[in-house]
Amino acid sequence: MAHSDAIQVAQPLLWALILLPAAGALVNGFFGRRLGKGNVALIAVGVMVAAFAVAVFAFFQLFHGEHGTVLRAPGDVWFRVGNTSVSFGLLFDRLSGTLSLVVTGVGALIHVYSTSYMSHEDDFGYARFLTYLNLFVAAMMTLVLGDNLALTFMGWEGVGLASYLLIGFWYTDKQKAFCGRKAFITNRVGDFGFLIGFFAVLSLFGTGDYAQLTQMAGKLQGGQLIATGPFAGWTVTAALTLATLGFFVGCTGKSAQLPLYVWLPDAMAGPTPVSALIHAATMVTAGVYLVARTSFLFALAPASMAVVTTVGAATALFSALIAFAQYDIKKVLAYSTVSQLGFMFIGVGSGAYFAGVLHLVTHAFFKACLFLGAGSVMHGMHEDTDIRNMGGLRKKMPWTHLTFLVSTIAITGFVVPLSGFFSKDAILANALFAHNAMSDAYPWVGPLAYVLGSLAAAGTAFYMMRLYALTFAGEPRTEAARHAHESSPVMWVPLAVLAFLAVVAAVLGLPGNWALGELFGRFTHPVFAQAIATAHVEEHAATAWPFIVAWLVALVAGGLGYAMFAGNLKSIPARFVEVFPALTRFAQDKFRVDELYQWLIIRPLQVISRFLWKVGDALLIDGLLVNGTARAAMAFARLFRTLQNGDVQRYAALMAVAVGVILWTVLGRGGN
Amino acid sequence: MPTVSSQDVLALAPVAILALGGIALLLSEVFLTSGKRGYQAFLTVLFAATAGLTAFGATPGKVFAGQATADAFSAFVTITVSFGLALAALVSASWLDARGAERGEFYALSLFAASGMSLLGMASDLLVAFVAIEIMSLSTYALAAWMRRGKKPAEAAFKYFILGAFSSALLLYGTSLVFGATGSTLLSDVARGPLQAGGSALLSAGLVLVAAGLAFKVAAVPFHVWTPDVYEGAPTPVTAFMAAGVKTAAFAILARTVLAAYAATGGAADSAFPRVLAVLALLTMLVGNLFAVPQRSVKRMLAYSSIAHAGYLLLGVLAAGLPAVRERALSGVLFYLASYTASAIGAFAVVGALESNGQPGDEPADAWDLERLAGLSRRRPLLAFAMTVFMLSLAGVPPTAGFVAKLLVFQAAVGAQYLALAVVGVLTSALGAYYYLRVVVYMYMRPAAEGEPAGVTSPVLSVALAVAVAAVVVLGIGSEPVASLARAAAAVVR
Amino acid sequence: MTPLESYFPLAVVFALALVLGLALVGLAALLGPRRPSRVKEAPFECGSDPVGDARGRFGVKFYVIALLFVVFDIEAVFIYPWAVQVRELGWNGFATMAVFAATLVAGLAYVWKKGALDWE
Repeated sequence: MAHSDAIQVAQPLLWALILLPAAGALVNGFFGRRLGKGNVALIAVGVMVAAFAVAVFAFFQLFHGEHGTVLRAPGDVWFRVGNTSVSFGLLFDRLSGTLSLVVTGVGALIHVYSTSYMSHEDDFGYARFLTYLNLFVAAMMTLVLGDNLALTFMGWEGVGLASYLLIGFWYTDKQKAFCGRKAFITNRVGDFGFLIGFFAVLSLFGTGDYAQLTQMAGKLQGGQLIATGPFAGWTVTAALTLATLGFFVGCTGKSAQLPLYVWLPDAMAGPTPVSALIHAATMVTAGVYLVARTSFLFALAPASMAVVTTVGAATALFSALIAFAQYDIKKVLAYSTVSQLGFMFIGVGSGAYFAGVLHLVTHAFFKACLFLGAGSVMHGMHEDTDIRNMGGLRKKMPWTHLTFLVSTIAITGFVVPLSGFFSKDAILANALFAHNAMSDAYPWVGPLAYVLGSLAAAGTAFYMMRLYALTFAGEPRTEAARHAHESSPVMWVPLAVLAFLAVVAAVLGLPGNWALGELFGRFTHPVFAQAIATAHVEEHAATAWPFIVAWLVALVAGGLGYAMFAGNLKSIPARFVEVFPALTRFAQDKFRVDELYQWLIIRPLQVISRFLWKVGDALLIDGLLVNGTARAAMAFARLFRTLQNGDVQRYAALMAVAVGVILWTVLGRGGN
Repeated sequence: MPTVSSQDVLALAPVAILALGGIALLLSEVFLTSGKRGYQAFLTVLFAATAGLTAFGATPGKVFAGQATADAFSAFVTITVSFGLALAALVSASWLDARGAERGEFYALSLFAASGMSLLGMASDLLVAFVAIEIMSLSTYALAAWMRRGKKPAEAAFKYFILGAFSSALLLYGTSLVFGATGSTLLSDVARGPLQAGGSALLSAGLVLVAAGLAFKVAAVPFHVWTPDVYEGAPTPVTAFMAAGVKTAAFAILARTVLAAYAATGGAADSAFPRVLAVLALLTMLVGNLFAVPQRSVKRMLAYSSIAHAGYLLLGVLAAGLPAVRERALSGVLFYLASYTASAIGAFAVVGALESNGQPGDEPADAWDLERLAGLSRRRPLLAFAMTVFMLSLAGVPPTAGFVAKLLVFQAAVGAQYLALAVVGVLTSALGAYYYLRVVVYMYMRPAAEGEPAGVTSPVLSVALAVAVAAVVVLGIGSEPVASLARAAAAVVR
Repeated sequence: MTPLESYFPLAVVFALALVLGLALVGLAALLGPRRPSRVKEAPFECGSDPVGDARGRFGVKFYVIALLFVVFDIEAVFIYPWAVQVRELGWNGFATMAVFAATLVAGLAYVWKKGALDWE
């Protein structure tokens, strides 16, 4: 059997998807400086292309054999906890396969782009950048391919690390280094949620393996009481709500949702290819992937589904509003990413799993294209990112302009056959019409998500057209814009490929009653079959009016955006600023959420740690131990002798008091 | 009258080999005075390896009428200690050689200390434990003062000695009270509880004092106060050995004692004893991590980190109180100790390689400042990589040993219903990631200061670091063989 | 024999020690000629000045010798009871004590070679 042979070959090859980029990172990391830029680029791009080829080969195998064929690369036992054993195994099904294609494909394009974009760096910086990028891909593939929560978590941490390293890539700039730290710390808060979820799942099921979890979860009923373990006495629904909400906290960190989204706009401090690959196309969608991956657990916890949907919808609108007032080309795209991620969460939260994942895929294409386009513009504009200084770049940078326009239309969705339209509107229509466990328990969530999402979609069309109009339309507003030049083909060819993909990906999401309708929905059905069955997701008849409404909304808002910033209504924005100065400033300051966190969380923590440091360390220990090289030798010696004496006594006294307290506690309790 | 049987001698073979090694190195220093001392570290490694192998093959059984026990548990402890000793010896060779302070006595003292640690792993009698602790401690006091011309090492050794004597007194006094209550110092007898009905208060007081004495050795809050000063002042390779070896041995006897104490004071969760232990674990996790955050001296940060790790280990010991999860908890503790041994010695080795070579024995105040690590990835990429691996392991990031270790311990704590403590553990280790990764940030993201020396490295140090990195990664990825050994070891302790 | 009776020999030793001590001091005071001087009036303490700075220094050699003395003193403490029971303990006991003594000999050899016994 030729086909089973091919599968036999493909299964162990899955490891290559992780090991190839990892090997690239190792070689470039240790020897990159000595190899020279050409070899470094060759290695980094080579491993990505090879990984993409492997992914294509493996993906091809999924179409053979019966419906729901999966590839597995079982691994050895990693560790055992009690009766639970966790092994390294890879799982390549229709969900992880799709993501593998996106990660390696878009990743390879962005690697190519980077070889030109980063060519101004010195040899060390160049090698370092491509090392981190390869490292990121290795971690992301671990996250995607892991067949259990532990491996996914490992990838989850790995991509966080790579993202942190890349945001702070230009670490000599204090502000940028700070942005890296902010991203990392915010993500750690989220990771804590992931761990809670992970431990809860381990306690409940005794395994983190997706296949086993699926099987065990399939036998559960929501109202069942749990007999043993830490959750004894809880219902399955309650325990899984805790677990899945834990996961979702992790997702809000990684995928930049309310309230932990604050790091993503600052993550734009990194080089633009990083923003495209990590902070738009792949890493930030890890949260969506996790919810999709564990959809069978979310399906048992309607409250969690409602939370995911609501938070997603709120984030979508909230960040779209912030994007209205931003003037930094990358910041606009960053808030747009946050907003689009919100859409994805509406999808995977409300039971329209395929729609959420589809939007993930299409978003990867058009947002990567937009970011790379922004990078190209920045190159042309000598690293200026303020869109007020641009304008008229249409003629100066034809390829960048064309691809940017295509992607803008794709994301706004007012020209029907482009990909963003169907994926976004499939999500919204599903949210409105969904009949499932969530809509039974919380009937208001679906319509609310629909309303918020539609407003966000209108907002998206508006701010994207504003961005496009200010950047490319009209006349150049500065000298720099007048002398902007097109980037090299190494940069615009990946743009063209991505723009092309942004157009043709529309095929995947056509509505059910069209030819090729619901291609992606049917393709991913085996992955989500159990979640759909558990949550009783009912198919709804495809009706035309939501699509028409969405189209009209996008058209009107987009047209308004263009008209207000490049057309006949140019006076309106200025009037708006005049009439509502405070509101404008509030939006420009990103609704001051950072300041709120600063005031609510960071400052108190700083006060506490300063207090501990001053009182505990500086006063008790450092204060008594002299480190003053500045002091005169005699004074030093005298003080030293005295304080050293005092120290030991104090230490001993502390221990004695502690023993006393403990004895008092133990004996005071009757000596039992 | 108990007589010496061949079983007794054989069971004590690892201890004897280590002690014999100590004597051999002591004599080598005076009889083989060629001036070249490179062989001494290798001899130490050889003795450590032999002791480890002997422990691996030892037949289990009681030694000297139950005063000590040779079992899989003690074998695991001995192997871990021997591994730590071998690593520390290689690290020391490079460090001491650079300072012209390499002498046979150093290795002899290390070997004597290791023999005490190994014996401590076997001890099942409070008096034997006391003797073993003293063998271990006296050697480490002397080692801490090795660079005796320096102020800091002398101060560190002095503090360690004075406070160590204090803790020994507590331990001994506790032992006497226990003896008064139970008529025996054998842990198996102590576990049966007081002889007379009224003796339980006496027994509790005695056990508390014993536990306090041991808490000093493991650096549990509030008996930790000596740790930062001593760890910072002692020569770096000694600190590495102290952090790894003393902790391993002390946790071994603490686990055995606590289990006996649980049995003696009537069951687990409802008595005061576990509660005290729980409070200690909580305080240790919090204080260790919170105080590590503001440190700019990497060595001092690692000292506080050592306290923090003691907290996680205490959590494991606490969980072992529940018979249902005892095996899981103890195996987690053992695995944790093995993983901490590799990570901590490795981390201290890197710190030692980078610290400035000051005047005889005394390093300047900023010898271990974070700045010294700045730009290390450019100057010495492999050293920076090794340090990154150790930091990740200490932080508990997969796929390193530290992650698996933390997972095992926290899982056991959850299994024993210490949910709140497990949550604190996870939260504080998240906090820990901050200060560990700050080191990584400095190495990879800060430009090097002008004229910063590249640090001292040597082939032996490279070997030691390579072994430590390999151990951390192998324990992290292929943890199963070691974890199954730890499970087998935990299964024999009741 | 009641418990108290068994301590009778000990009490006799204490009494004898007391009587002997008092007798010697008393006899010296009665019989000896007294020609006090400033140096003679000072308390006698192994040759070192009894009054002075507490941080005064001692030769470290004294400590080394004292430590070595303690070690071998302890050896004697172990060897005496063994010697009393040597037949009962047999070869086992002999081997044990031989190991103990050999360890001390090794230590002595080290100390000797190291030069700790040379006074100058």
